[in-house]
Amino acid sequence: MAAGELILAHVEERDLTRLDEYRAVGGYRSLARAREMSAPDVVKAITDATLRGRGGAGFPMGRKASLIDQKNPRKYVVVNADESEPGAFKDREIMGRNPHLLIEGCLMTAYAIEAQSVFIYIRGEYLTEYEVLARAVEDARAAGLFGDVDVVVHRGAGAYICGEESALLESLEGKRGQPRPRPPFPPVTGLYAAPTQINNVQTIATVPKILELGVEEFTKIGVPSSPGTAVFSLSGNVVRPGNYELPLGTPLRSLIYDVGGGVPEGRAIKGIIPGGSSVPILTPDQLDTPLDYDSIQAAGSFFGSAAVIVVDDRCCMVQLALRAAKFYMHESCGKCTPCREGTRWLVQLLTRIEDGSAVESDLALLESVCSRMLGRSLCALGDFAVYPVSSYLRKFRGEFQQHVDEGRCPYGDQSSIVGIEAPIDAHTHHPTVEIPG
Amino acid sequence: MSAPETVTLTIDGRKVTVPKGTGLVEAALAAGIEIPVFCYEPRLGPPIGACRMCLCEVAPGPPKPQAACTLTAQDGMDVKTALTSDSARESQDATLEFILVNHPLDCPVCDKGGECPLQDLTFRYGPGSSRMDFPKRTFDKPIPISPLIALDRERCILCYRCTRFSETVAEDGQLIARNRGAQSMIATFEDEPYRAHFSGNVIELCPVGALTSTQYRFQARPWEIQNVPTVCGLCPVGCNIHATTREGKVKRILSRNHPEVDQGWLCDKGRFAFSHVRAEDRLTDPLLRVRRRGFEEVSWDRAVDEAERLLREAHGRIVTALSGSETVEHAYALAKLLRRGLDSHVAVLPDEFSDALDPLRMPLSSIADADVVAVLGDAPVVERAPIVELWIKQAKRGGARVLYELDEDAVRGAEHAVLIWSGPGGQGGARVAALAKRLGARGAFWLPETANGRGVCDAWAAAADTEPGEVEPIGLLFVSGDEAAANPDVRALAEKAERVIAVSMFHGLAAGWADLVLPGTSYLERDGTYVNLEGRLQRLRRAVIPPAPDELAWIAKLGERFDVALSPYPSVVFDEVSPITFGGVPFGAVGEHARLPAPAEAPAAPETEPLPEPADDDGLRLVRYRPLFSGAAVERVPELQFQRPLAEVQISETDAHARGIRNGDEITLRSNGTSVSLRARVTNELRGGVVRIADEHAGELQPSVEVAR
Repeated sequence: MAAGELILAHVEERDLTRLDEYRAVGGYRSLARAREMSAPDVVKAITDATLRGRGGAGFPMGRKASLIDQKNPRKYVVVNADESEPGAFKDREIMGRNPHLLIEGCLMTAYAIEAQSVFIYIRGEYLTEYEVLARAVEDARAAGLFGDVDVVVHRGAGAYICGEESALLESLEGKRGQPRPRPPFPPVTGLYAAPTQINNVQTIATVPKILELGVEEFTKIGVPSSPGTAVFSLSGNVVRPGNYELPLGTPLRSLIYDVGGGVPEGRAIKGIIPGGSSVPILTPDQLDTPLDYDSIQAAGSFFGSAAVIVVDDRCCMVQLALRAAKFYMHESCGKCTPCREGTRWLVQLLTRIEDGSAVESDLALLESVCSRMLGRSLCALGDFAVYPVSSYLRKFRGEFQQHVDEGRCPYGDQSSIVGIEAPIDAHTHHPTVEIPG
Repeated sequence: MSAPETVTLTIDGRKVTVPKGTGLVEAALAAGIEIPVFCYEPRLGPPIGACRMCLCEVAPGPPKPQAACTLTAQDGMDVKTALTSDSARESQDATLEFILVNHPLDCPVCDKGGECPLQDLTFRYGPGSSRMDFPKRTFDKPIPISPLIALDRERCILCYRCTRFSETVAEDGQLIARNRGAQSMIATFEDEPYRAHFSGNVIELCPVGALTSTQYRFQARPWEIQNVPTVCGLCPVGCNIHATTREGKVKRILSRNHPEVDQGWLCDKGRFAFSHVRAEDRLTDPLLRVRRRGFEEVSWDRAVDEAERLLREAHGRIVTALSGSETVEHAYALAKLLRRGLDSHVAVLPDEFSDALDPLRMPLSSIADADVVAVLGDAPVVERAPIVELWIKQAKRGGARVLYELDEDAVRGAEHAVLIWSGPGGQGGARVAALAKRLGARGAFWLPETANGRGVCDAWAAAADTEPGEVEPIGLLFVSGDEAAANPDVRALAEKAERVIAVSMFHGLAAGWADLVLPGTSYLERDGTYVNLEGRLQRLRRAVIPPAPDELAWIAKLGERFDVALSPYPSVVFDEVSPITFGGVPFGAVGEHARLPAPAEAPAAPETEPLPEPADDDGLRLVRYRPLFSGAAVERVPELQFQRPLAEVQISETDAHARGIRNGDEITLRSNGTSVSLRARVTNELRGGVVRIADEHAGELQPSVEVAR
């Protein structure tokens, strides 16, 4: 067990998917402790611990809970386990290796907001994790841990958009997965129009740890504005990619070099995407940025889903932007205009730049399309589609310009991204794939 | 009642005060400012904020532009539209640019061109040129999603109005969005034809030329048409319509929103059946039986002479069969001619009407506010008065309980209960009125079978007070219109009558059994008034000239022969009947959006019979109904044939369960040695003990049937 691990503690030595093993390391004691407290006190503990959402937005979980109308007899807890952000694989590991921790967190959250129903919406592709989690739910139910609460594990059907909370709720209701206009927000009008506490897997899985350690001890971990730990999914050009649970505020450099072993062959870093493919890229001069919500935001990016992607100096940024743009075109739900039409246009423009057939004005047009999409979509995913493109363009303008000036890609097939297959390339039979030319 | 709460906000620097809960788009309109929209349509339920055309700067609020359509006006709000905000202006430009990125811009060959919101808003707000120089997204087109509607997916801007209509208004759930992102497309579920009573509304809802009418495709351009405001004459709802005409022909029917009657929705019969006016077998000249078998076309002078002769030779032994589709004026003129001129007072009236409902008179829109709606009478509402079904659905979405079996306690306990009688045995509304009175229901409606049955009955009564006597044998049967001509009871009378004069629009109906056939006209060819099922007097306007003189013209001529003063002009005839029947309202005051008269004083409650009980043995009571998509007009519209009722029997969940019948099962119904096999449609919109079948599929079944798998 690595020191300081909370969520992934003991997963190396024990098979925590088994209820007895999980109990042997103290599992479900936090639940018992919570049930001895009053519901508002549990909410207060979560609030005092400043537990911020680990799914992307970093919204404090306790504040969400406080928005829920306690008098409404119908309330829901929904766990967003539709982890789909390119680069993110932390929830997968948590559910696959420590499912009872998530279940315990669910039961505690349900107790805190006095809900009787918990829905875990798990990404459809996570079949193994679904099976592990479903079995754990059955074991916990059989062990009588649920009380008057029921937990349902629901599999998604392969849409990135369903990781957006309101689209997730639509999908859970059996409708087409598309975001809802907000306000009202889920704590007011959520699943089946009832107040709903919806949080990411890791957020919910952290809840038992708050009571286990006590609020005071818990807040000593990490930084004051973002206490606790996060499981960072480290990927890209690093020696040891993987999930690493570290205290929030750990410097980016430390994650990449001390934990991840640095870049293979000692190559230079060109950029770091700190929160999954949808966030603006950071540059090597920002390697000392502490990995917490506020610090990363101050550096011009987002904490996102704590998926840190390292890009080395062999990668063509136009190719990388195109890869991201294709993903977001593929996953745009089609509900609102800027995202639906803009993502396709971005792909067309980037394809032309990469081909070397772009003209001078295309870079300005690319910039303009990005800025016209930004902030104008129904949900945040419209912005997610823009950030990679606009930030690569801003920070690596020269490289884009080189494509235009030379009439070809300076990296060609030597780019380090070549050969790494993107989902959109793997799913060519899919009807939504129409590579515009 | 206290004054409604209001809020005051600022829009583009203008202060405006609106009722609390008003949407920002409407609040801006109140301030004289347009916030352009595509997806926003309040009749389709909560706003979805999809098209992003309405982005504005709103304070207080997040710094990024907000979709005005999803916000309601709040006190002290400061809204800046594209008129005064650079950010909003940029948003609007951006949205229009994005919408047009993949739109084919084929306006010159698009039916919507000239009356297209996308075209209009692009001209008003959009850029003059495009920065998009890539190949646009293409699809196969046009796709006939039904024989009535063609879909052009390239023009579609994915505002989801059509799918929202299908899902949340008509609740047929047949239109869906398929795929994701830029490849999203509108489709029907499983690519089945869009077969539903209200499908045509999606054509009007579409803000671009993506959904077009197959009947109207390439038929006219907006600058060469005229829209005549009139009223549909195909069912007792009397939806307000625009008849679009070009060069003297009706080309399409559009809704003309009357918020109390139809909310701007039309059924597919009202929208698409108009082309029967130009049916191949339309009668344009009078037909006279000259030999034992055979008719010849005769001049109108000859026809009027013959009619006079036939009327005289009957010596007052005349029975008049009315259709219920005559205008008030037409029915009154006919009644005056026959009752005053020929002392013939016996009539087969199209519907039964009781004035017991008048004290409960309410607009149809009041159904939407109900907390309990009881639908009695066992005939499907949607087949009789389609729009009423949409009002019931709206009530249900608003939380109302809809009962298909009378639950007296539920009605008594309701704040706002509405009773609706759909089916036979309603005694002209007397029965439902008595029930409503006894149970304290707020409103009650009776759904007659004919469009203007009520106006026709009133007009007939207004012409004379004389009680009808016995007519035996019948010297002359005067059949007024196609509904009467198609009525089996009238056909039976014709067998007994010595002579028959029939008025009919079509060759097929009256020729063969009448001695003289006079060409009839359609509701689209008449001026006059109709009275709908609410008791609302509405104005018909002539959209096109009929191919033959209209009824008033030759009735007036016949009037001269019998010394009955009759004008050929509807306005004059109306002014004569109005003081007797409509409180003297002048013809010109009926208006384009007719008002409902105030509820009448309560008359003495009539005696009514108890509700019919379903059969109590193993058998079920069979209700045969006349489907909406049937009758002389529908039969003459090829595009509507796919809408004719399926060979199925509707059975309640309880009865189906008791017999092990599941939805879609083939089941057999038996009575008195005859049997019919039909597919079961299990419904919770029918009470136990009753099954119902469209007339054309019920065969010879008797009123009590055995049902088994």
